[in-house]
Amino acid sequence: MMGEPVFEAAALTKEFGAVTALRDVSLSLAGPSIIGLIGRNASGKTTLLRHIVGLQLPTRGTARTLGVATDRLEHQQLARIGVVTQTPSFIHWMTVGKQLHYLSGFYPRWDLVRQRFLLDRLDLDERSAITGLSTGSVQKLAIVAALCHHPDLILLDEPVSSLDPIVRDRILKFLFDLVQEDNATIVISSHILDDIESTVDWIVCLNDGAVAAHASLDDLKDQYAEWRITARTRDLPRRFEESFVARQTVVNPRSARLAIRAVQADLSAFQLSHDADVEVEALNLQGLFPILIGDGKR
Amino acid sequence: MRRGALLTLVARPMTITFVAIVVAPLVMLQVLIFMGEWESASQVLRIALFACAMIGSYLGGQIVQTIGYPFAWTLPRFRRAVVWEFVACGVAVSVVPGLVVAIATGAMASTLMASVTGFAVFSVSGALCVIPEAAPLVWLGCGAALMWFRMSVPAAILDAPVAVITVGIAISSLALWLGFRTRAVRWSAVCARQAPVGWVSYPLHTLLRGQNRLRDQVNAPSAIAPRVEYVGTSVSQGVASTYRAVRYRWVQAPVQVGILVITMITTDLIWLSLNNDSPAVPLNLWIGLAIVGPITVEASRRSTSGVVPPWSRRQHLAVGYTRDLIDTLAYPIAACFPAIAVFFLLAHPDRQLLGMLARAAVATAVFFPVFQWPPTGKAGMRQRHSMSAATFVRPVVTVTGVAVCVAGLPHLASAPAVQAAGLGVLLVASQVIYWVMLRRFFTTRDLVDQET
Repeated sequence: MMGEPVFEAAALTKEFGAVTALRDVSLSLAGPSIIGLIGRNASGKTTLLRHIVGLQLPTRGTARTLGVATDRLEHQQLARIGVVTQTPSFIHWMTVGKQLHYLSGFYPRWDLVRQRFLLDRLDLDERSAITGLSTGSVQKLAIVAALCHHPDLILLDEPVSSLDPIVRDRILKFLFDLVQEDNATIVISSHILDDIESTVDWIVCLNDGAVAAHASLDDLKDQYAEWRITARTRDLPRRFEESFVARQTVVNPRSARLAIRAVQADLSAFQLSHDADVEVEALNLQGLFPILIGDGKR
Repeated sequence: MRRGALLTLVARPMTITFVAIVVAPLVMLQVLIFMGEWESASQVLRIALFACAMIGSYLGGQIVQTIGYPFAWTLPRFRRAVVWEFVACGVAVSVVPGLVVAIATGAMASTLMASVTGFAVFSVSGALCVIPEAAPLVWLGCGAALMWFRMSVPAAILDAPVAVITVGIAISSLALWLGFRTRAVRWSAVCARQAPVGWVSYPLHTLLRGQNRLRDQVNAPSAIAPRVEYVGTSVSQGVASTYRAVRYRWVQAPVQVGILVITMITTDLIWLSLNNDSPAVPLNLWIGLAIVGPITVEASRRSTSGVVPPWSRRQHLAVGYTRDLIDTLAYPIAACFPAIAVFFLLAHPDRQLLGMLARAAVATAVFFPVFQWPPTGKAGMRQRHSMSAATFVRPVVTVTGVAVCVAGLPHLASAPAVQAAGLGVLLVASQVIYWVMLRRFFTTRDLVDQET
């Protein structure tokens, strides 16, 4: 990754009693870039995001955001961060406009033009009461609130899960423009891998609290590929034992799909040994995800 | 879910805490006080009826909590199952006052009368908790309970068991119908989900919000308002912004306090008209002060919004402590007004009463930190188990502490100046302890709950 690190963790461990939410996490996130934070449910994504902004503190290890230890983040650093939480909440008696007006006082760089633009693009009425907003509209408001102060670091925890596809596309496009315009670093956690894939250029994958992958999306795609295999004369084996096979799906005795580690794989030797035709395709993030979290051996 | 729909909800540590912290000491206290009056059985009967009321309101609270969850409405026959179990619990509980009377008198009519009365008290208490509009009446119930332990029941009532039984059955039926019919439960579910503060009813909430909305429409800006500017230091800015966020609560708090003060005054006036000796006024007033203060603090504390401003932990600490200190120092001054009003309203010439009220107000302020903890508002509130215990522990600790200060201080020092100095030392000590705890919290603890 290029640029200064916006977040660094060294042997970061977070325990909640008997539950270990983060295990020995060491990583460095640099920008400007869009970083996708992926992982299964309860893999530690939200906890990691909360550590970045200092809402939770490590049980062991260290965490630094924008060059400062997260327990010592000052207003100067926090005003450079925008956060969208998984379940955003606002002051319920206010209207959308009042809420944004209220929040604007905390940030020295609040941009009313951007606020107006975002409200318009996301179809939010500033006169709407907070209590009357749908889940999706609350999420939209959270996104507006997180972006109007030109943050250098934007943390988005499942920001588009409740949004319709049209608004989702608008948001993702805007995020992409934001990186260009503000040189911002965006960390986006989501289960909608198609969205992540179309937006991010770096992937951090957490599995059971530990970092399972930390690489650029292009590198990950180069490392793996999908082979679509069709038998020529004899049936395919029930299970492929080659070491480079990361994931396999035998559709029927005559055809199978394999996710393979591209560096180790020898296509010619494989075709010869199994007497099969192989069609090579790039693996998308949806296909990569089970491999990254170690769920591919089936 | 149909079998044990209510009892499954009740079978949890919170129930044990409730019984241990609230019911048991009250019952024991009353038993100790009235131990020598067994022959009339009336005091023991009152304790049994009081327990019926407490258990009824507790079960009502559990029902409200559960029907607030959307999943409850997807359960087949949930309401019916809960109501039947509530009634079954009521029948079981109302056996206790019946037994008391049976042991004391042996008369069947009186036994039945006590049981029916117990069931009526149980039903009304439960329904009061379920019906959102009736929530403020809980305080009237508290006032009535205070009187109940002090006044004697007219003999004419005790001599007409048939009438009492008839009225009791009618009241129970009405309470169960009002509290548990489909429409009431549906309405209660909406209120439970949206009510801003525990017992503050949703109708009051919507009424106040409706006024806000009308005002907003009138004052609606034609374009987006410029960004707000808070003046002063970072701490004063933080305090100002926090008070702005809780402004709505400060509208509610006087309403709550008003209801409570009116309740206390009414109780005292009725008491004075019934009895001329050993008036309950001082006792009721200092209990009132010990309740009003924490209600105001809670209203402020609970309204800490979900918005996390970009403040450093240092600033969170400074803002939080400053705001809480303002609340603490403002309370004794604010408490003087209702106290003086009550003093003149009752035309009570006893100057000691004012001294007692002043002691109660300052002593209540000493215990404010008990209600101001945990400092992160919503995040801390989510720790259900600790909060459940705290809900009961905090009033008990405060009322006990205030009682010790009000009653005990004159025995230690008769001079008002020495008493004032003693209370001042306690106030400073409580603030120092609170500051140390707050500082430790903000420097070492998570500001949000566990959630991965």
